Amino acid sequence: MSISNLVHKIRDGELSAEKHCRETIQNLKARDSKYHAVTRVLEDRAITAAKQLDQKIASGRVVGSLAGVPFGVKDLFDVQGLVTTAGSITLNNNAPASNDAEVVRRLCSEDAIPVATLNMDEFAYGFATENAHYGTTCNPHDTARLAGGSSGGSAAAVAAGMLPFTLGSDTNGSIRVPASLCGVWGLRPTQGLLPLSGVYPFAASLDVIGPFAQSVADIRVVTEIMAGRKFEYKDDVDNLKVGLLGGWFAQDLSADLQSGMQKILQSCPITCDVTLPEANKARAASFVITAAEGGNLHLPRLKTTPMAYDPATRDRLMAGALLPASTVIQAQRLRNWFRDILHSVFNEVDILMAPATVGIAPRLDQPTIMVGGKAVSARANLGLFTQPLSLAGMPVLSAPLPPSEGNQKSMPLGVQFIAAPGKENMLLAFAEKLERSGLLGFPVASE
Amino acid sequence: MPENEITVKDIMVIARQIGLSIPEQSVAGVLSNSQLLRGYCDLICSMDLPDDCPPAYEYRP
Repeated sequence: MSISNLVHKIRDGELSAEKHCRETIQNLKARDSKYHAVTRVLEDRAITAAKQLDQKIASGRVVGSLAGVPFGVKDLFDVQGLVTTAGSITLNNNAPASNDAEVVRRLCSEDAIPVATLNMDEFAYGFATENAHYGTTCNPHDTARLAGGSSGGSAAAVAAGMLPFTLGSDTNGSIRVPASLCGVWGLRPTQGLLPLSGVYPFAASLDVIGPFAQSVADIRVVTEIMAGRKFEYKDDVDNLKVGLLGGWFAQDLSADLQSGMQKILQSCPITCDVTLPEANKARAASFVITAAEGGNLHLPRLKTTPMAYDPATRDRLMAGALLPASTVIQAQRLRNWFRDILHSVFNEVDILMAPATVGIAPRLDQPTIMVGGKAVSARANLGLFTQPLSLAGMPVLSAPLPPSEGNQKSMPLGVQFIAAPGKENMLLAFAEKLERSGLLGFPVASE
Repeated sequence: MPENEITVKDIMVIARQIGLSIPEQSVAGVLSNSQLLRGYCDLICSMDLPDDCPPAYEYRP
């Protein structure tokens, strides 16, 4: 059910918010043992909020535009009264959050109801959601495969149909990679559009937060509320110029991914090929900036409580803390150079398209992907195509391709659509058109 | 060993400069990650950038 339909049913009294909330929580408890997407169920808070909402509706008072819609948040969003873990045990002695994260507050002010916190890679450092403390999140379309990360719990909860929307964060691709592998929509909005207050940082100069949902309309309504403004788009989306990113973004792609992108291009009247120079160096810059900022952030704890970290996270953060300043500064200079190149591309095209990952979700027992003929770690490399694009701060929508023809059981694949900064309106309108025409969209996983 | 290969001695020297003690269990992992990062650093530093290209502090898209 879409968010809009759910809200209408609750507002019209067809469905009690409390009943829906209880069913959602019961469903999470019954089904999540297969996926390990959920870390904490917020039962008392959620039921209390749902009861209050039902009373508001019964008394004829105006209710919010997300009335009774349950949602979950990645474990790095502050939830009042809970310790924000960021997927780790090293923060367990921190005080509970005194307030909700600002975007959670904005959603609750429209009567949405937070019902769960969701699994992630420890401190968001990974593309796999393999968490030594809270378990590995499985892909709802095939539980023998990874959900992707670092916002894997958020993507899996939506893909399994357990929640209509969830929140995640994206530093190098942590929304786009799991959205792609789980067959859901995920938006990395323009950097700075959504407030980060109450969100545990990873690499502050790259961090962005955004939603996962089952449709573009759901992504739109949730993002608008979090941004505090509407994304109206009145122009025609039929004649936008769409550029297909080649070069770095054309390597090692699966045949189904290439075919899906070609079908989209064939539906667009004006297309072109675009090659971004030095995309491999841009990815390297993103890698280095993240390692350095993450390493610096955690250095005090790495000195005092190193053994509380997942060993793989600890080793990566320590290596990042050791990076020389001149290299990090060079990476930030390269970032500015690359941003200018990307912005100039948008003088010529309206939308860019690129794959989100090289192929389908890797198996849990073989967490590698093939790049340049070599098997490399999925945890470190699934962001091959997302990392360069993180540098420039543009809005990027991860969109699911439909199941491959004649194979409704095929695994999801995702593409990235990129627009100029602040052009979420055009990006979402364009994606809605493709979704309506059946060129984008993947069904919820069957139980 | 290649000339620019990072060694355990290298990472221990830098770690000491920032007051970090690397646990024995992590030495191999930190070394491996440092070598990976070195590859990325070499790529970045091979790029000639104009003097008037500043770092992206206070980044705005």
